[in-house]
Amino acid sequence: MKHETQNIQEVHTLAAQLVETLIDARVVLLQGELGAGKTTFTQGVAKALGINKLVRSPTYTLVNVYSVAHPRIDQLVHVDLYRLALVNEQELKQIGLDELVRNARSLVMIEWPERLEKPVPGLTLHFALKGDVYTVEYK
Amino acid sequence: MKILAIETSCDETAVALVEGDGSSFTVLENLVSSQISTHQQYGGVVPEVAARMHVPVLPPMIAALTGWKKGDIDAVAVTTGPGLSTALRVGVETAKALAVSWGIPLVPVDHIEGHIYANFLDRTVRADAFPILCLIVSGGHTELVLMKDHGEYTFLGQTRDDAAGEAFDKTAAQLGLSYPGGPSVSLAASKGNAEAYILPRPMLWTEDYDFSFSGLKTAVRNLIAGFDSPSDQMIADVCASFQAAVVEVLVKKTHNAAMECMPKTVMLCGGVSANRALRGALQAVFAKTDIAVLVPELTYTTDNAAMIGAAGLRGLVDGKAAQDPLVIDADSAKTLGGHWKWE
Repeated sequence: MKHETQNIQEVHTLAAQLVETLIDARVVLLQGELGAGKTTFTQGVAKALGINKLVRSPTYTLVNVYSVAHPRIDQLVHVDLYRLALVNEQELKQIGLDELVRNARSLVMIEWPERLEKPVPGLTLHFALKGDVYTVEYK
Repeated sequence: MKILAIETSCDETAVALVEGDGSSFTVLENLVSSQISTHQQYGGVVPEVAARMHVPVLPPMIAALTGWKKGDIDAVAVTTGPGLSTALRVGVETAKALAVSWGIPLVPVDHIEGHIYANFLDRTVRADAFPILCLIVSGGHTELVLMKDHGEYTFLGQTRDDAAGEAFDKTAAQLGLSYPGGPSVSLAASKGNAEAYILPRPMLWTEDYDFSFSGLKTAVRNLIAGFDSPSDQMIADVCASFQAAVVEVLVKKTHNAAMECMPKTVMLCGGVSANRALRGALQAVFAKTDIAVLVPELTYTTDNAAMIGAAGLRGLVDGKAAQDPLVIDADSAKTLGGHWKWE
């Protein structure tokens, strides 16, 4: 599937449309260059899940957790591995990610999954920005 | 009163001895050991490495402090968050051990409050300096906070996506400049023309005190995507244009907030406070007003324990010390205690 969006508003709308698909996958890997729309997309997911808090870049905090009132999940977990070098399994434990990924009632969105030594299974979304067009692709 | 302070929230191991009465603070000793060169080899911070590196470095650094003798330290202060939890824990557990064995109180300190108190180091900030409007700018934070008095915080605005320091780091990465990005972008910018490229000033005209730097990061990306093989001058021009955009938004929003809150002082806090263009622009905009501008000494802009000592001494005066140090724990997602202006 390939979606093309023209602006941030449309990225949010697309995120809202895909929420249930993302929850089916439970773990979502967001690939794409800096500024390609990964955090913006996650903000759209948060909005669609009724999260009122600002969803900010987790680059410095690594993991941000938001409570959600939803029949299938209790929390949205926003992860950003950008600032880390290669993340091995021990480190995955140390930032608490292994537990969050195992929690069946979490939706885990991981930015920069390329940093993981051993890939975590999940739905991969590819983000790209050319000119003013954001594209989001997944299989 | 004399306090021993420890800071291990990220990639700096730091200890300090600070003396003061809770209003003025004298730095007796200030030691910092940086891990930046190690993390540069990995291309980023590695939490496990960061924590492991604090372990062998911290005890000898404490032992290297000479300005104290047994019985003359009144309390221990330690950064409990925000930061990398494994790294924080090294400092917190060491501080607990010291406080318990010496039988003195332990003061948990918020890292961001530490950056605020960096402005009080080696200075006397009188009671009539309040209220103080703080612009907090670092890798993880961009916030406007009104400080009515010591320890009393009202949040006015914050970034809605990326922090200003993060925008500097990511711009540096896109341009192939070295980590950390703030100093390298600032250095390149000093040789560039800030009007060479037109970059957006996100949220410049909104009536709130919020910021957004994600779009600016994307604008830089789109700009350099059009370059074939950029010359050093082009990179310098991008850096200068980018920095001018960030500084303009930060200064304008701070000025707007100051016009509403009418503080006596505006204070620049956090790692990005080392940026010369930002310091200069902030001082210039308030030059013809009655509002004083305070910027921290350059030594105290980056992570250090002296600022944690100052905030700790103030916390001790305000009764924030734990009588039982063992109850203190690291909190990686700690937020500065306070309330929003509409609360």
